[in-house]
Amino acid sequence: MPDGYNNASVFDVDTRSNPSFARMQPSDVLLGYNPDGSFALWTGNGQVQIFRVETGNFRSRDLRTLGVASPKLAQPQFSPDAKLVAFSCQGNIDLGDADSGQLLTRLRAADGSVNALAFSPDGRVLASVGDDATIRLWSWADG
Amino acid sequence: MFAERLKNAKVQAEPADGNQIRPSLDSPLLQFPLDKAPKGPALAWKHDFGVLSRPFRTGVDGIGAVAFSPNGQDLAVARGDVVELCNLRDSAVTKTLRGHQMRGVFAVTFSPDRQYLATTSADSVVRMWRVTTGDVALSIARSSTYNHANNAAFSPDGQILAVGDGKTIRRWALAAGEETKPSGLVNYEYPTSIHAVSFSPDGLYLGGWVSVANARRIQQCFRLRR
Repeated sequence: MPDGYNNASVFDVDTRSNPSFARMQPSDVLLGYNPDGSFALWTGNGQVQIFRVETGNFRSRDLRTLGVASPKLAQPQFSPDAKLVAFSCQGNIDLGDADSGQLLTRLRAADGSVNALAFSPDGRVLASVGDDATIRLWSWADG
Repeated sequence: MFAERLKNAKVQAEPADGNQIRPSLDSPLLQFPLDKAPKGPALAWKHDFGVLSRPFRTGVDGIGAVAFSPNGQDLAVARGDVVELCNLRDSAVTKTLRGHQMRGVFAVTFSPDRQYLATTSADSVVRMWRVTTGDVALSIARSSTYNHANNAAFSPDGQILAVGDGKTIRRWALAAGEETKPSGLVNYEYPTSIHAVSFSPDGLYLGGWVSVANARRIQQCFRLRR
């Protein structure tokens, strides 16, 4: 544990060097990677943020401030083309632009919490499931 | 009675607009411009096991996990301790996977070639199912008693299944069906139980995140040898 608990670290097995490093807050959770692995997504301090793996730098723009960024809620997902980020809070799905960090739209998704989100492999459909035992499939127009 | 209800479980198409539309990936779903949020989803399936749905904070009574198959034709849906494979083309449940206990399937993951589905559950057993037959190809009993909210991850090349077990990440070479002995820093012991594991999309990194007693969390990724 080279730098204590509050860090996101990437280690190289061969050199045991630590090329990537970012200061994390106590409640932060890293949630996943975009398709080419260059960016990672995390929640922390009530926010969803994007993290550049190679340099350890944050993108300065947060996607959105969540009321409660609990890992129990559906994990944020990158779309396969990495242009969109979908995440949920309190029964809504928010679609954010992964590049600009802007919130694009909010979908009323479930009675109760949304437990999981999944993009179809072609990125055309987003599936959401939750406590109301309903599978919802969302699609949107390009451009 | 409950078993009988499960036996009759089915997925019914229930479009948001009330019209009978069978979900299909061949015909476009209801679409909307991204800047104009729709009133409802393109399609909503009521997933009815015959049990009254009610808000349940832990999620075990609702649908806890969902995943698309790599070809986009199927959904894997976990509710309680039952996992179902739903075909989107004809909106039919093609396989019902039973064997998990304690009602809590946390995560479902298809292998990249769609041959397998890995599921993790509150019963501390990780199962890898053959999608075509519905039988269990690999059953992994995790040694740690604390395996809450844990997932399994296939490497992008489909060769490795990685599972968090307590403080370590264990790996299985799928071709051989054997556990891979840890090497290098992958043998690293995390400070506390791993909540989730993931490969980077290029397959070069494998990482896990954990939380420790004071609610601090950390993600550590390890570069895998080629």
